[in-house]
Amino acid sequence: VGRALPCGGLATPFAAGAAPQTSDQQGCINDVNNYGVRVAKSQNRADVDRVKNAGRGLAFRLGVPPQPQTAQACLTNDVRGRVAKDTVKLQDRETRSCLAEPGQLPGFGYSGSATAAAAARAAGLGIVAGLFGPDLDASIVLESADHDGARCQSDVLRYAGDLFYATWKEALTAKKNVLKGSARLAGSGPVASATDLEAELIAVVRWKENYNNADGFEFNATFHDQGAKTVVGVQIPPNGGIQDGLTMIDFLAHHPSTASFISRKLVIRFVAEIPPQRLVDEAAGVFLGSGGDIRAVLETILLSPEFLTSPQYRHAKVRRPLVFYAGLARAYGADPAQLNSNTLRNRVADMGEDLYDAGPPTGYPDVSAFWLSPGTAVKRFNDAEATSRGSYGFTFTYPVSGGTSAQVIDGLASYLFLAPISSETPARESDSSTCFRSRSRRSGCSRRRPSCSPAPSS
Amino acid sequence: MTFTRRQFLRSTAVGMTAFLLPSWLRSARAAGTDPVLVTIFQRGAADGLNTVVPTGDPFYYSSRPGIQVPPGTELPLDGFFGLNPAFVDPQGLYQAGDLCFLHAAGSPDPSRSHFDAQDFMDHAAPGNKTIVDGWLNRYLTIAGGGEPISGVSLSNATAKSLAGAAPSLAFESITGFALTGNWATERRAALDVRYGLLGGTLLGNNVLDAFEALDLVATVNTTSSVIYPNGSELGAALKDSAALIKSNIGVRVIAISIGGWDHHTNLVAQLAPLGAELSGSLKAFHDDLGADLGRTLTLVMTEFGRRIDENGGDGTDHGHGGVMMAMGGGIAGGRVIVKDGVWPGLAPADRFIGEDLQVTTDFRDVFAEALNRHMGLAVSSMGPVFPGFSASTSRFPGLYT
Repeated sequence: VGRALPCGGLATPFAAGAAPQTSDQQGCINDVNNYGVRVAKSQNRADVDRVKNAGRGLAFRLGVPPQPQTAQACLTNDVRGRVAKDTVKLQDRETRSCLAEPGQLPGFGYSGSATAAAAARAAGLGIVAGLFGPDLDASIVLESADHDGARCQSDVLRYAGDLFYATWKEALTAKKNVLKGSARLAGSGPVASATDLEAELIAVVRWKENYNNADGFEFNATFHDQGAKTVVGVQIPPNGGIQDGLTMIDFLAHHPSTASFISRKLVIRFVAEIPPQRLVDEAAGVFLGSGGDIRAVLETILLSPEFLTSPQYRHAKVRRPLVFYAGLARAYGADPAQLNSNTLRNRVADMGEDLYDAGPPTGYPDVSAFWLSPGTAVKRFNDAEATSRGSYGFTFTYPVSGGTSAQVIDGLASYLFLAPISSETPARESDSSTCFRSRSRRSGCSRRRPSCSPAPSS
Repeated sequence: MTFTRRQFLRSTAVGMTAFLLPSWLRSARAAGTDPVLVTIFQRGAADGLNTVVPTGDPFYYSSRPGIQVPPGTELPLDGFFGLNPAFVDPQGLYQAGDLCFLHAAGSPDPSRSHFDAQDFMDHAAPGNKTIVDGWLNRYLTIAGGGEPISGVSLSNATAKSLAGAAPSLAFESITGFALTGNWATERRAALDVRYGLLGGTLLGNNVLDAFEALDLVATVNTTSSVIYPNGSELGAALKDSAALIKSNIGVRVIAISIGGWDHHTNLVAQLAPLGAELSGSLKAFHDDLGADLGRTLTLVMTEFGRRIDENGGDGTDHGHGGVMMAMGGGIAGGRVIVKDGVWPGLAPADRFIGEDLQVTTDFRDVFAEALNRHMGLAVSSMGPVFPGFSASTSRFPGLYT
């Protein structure tokens, strides 16, 4: 009951004062706000790094010469470029959501992403100044002198940043709702200033601070359009309330295009980047016939001849960067407790697919041309080798040590295949390798070893 | 005719293209005389009007009261146009006749989406979303030797303009493109056998392309006496480009990108450092190439220009016509090329949909002239490179005399 009150109360002043914002305009405002907060978050994360590095006496991490290597200067050095990166993302988002089409720009004094980014950076820096005073270097507690004190310093900064971030997220959610409410209000009165909007939002945020939505879903009847409407051809009668959403979900879930779309994504995921249409169609049929039972759809795909036996689709998939490095960690039996996940993440980022960093709303593309090239193939080999020497935070125990070469092979096979290999296999392996080396280049000895020559009859 | 081991293995499964394009189809130029095309894509839609300023058009000054290049501060080019002083080095190249600008150039497609417009330009197929391979790749398919070294993207992923059926290389830097670590030689031998078995597959082909090129790229001398702009990714990529070209290992096209040109706000302050980076890098590349400048043509492009009128944030929003650049020893430089010598004008009545600079030079005409006059590809063979577009010498903008 209490929850609905301030929101309803908020809607009233805007009914009189705010020009309704179209959904495009709302998209612009919401996106710039959300991405702006990310800039603030990056600034804070970078600040935490700085305080940590300064506390450890790692001056060289505070700046890249000729940047000054003091903690205070470092606040704006942005050594790792995260803040700059998020600023660029904010710009990209603004471009798409605010400037790509006429009509996206909000109807009141829109200040642009640069202003938002500057404010976000200033907010992040403000936390540092608030906690440590005007000269950060003078306030740094050295880890060598006071370990717990240094840790406390960086933790406090981090949690202050988290609090700031959470507060803003809450504010933006409220702002979003207000905008949504104002959008369908007819008539245009005087334009509400951005300051008014912020003031109202802060009131809501303060009120909502302790609210915790346990099931993650909220239907707000106050802002729901209760009129009759037609959405992608579906007629929705008036006064449906929450049922309107359920009707649309049902419609979309049972639409043949949804079945084809999801089936196609799954076939691309499991079979080939250019998905065999026959299998997509079969899987889509199962999807529709089973009422969207994903288990049945996957069963169809995973038991299909395309997946199981077709030579055309063998080796048709290549691991994406994240899966590759996760695979490395597992293959080496890396100790999760020891694993420095940020180091691992940096490797994934270096391959071009940093976590949660995809630009387009559809995420990173699902075809390998975007992550696989001769250059990244070589990088993979280098990283696999470096990892085996303990680089990138991997600590593991080599599964086999000592013994004859046969024992080493047996040991490795047991490790990799969870069982020793049969006594015939090593002989066959070496024989076929010989065949490959001697014949392949000239006569086209099959690229698949088993058909190369009959196995010795031993 | 000889096939390399990689070509043989690469084609053992589904990829038959290597067989369809035997190496003897390659032009018979001797090493060191092959023409090279370098493309630099300014991602984000660079503001052409504040780069090459139409000082002779009064509507430039009235449309941009807050962000104009102040009259008299520009570097004079041809009397009508002046260069933003942040781009100081190209003026020297311009005066030397090694650089020219193309104004009111770009894509005929009206899209203002970076994503679509970049794809359209990388694919040389404005408005056509069914074309998914790059124009440089289609060029290599026609004219390359099927060797991966023919095309190089100086980035982690293959450039969209180079993506497609013809093999090419993509790596961030020459020095990073090497098998490193312990037992490098032994590992490579083992991997070579292992991936030799995977010829014709996605992974196998990339590894085979890499391995074939590793030794070749390892021979490249990356030292240079020319100083490139400090900390510039573009400068580093052009430095590597110069090294690749000078080493004569068969590179025909190189694709590079430089991001950050989307200046909706504070355009003056943001354009200056990027302009200095681009111009300084081009100047260093020019000097570094030395004797190889004549066989190297560098094209600079962007997905679209920006609006004529400044916005409320001291920036400019997405527009239409923009500026392209060409640098090379063989071009008829020292000019700002406008289609038929007619500046379309910035007056409200002259604008594209009332807002933007018109595009009077289609970027495909620039590409076509580059392929024909520099790379030696016959216009009659360009059909596959420019789908739905008929290249014609009569529309060449005139990079060459």
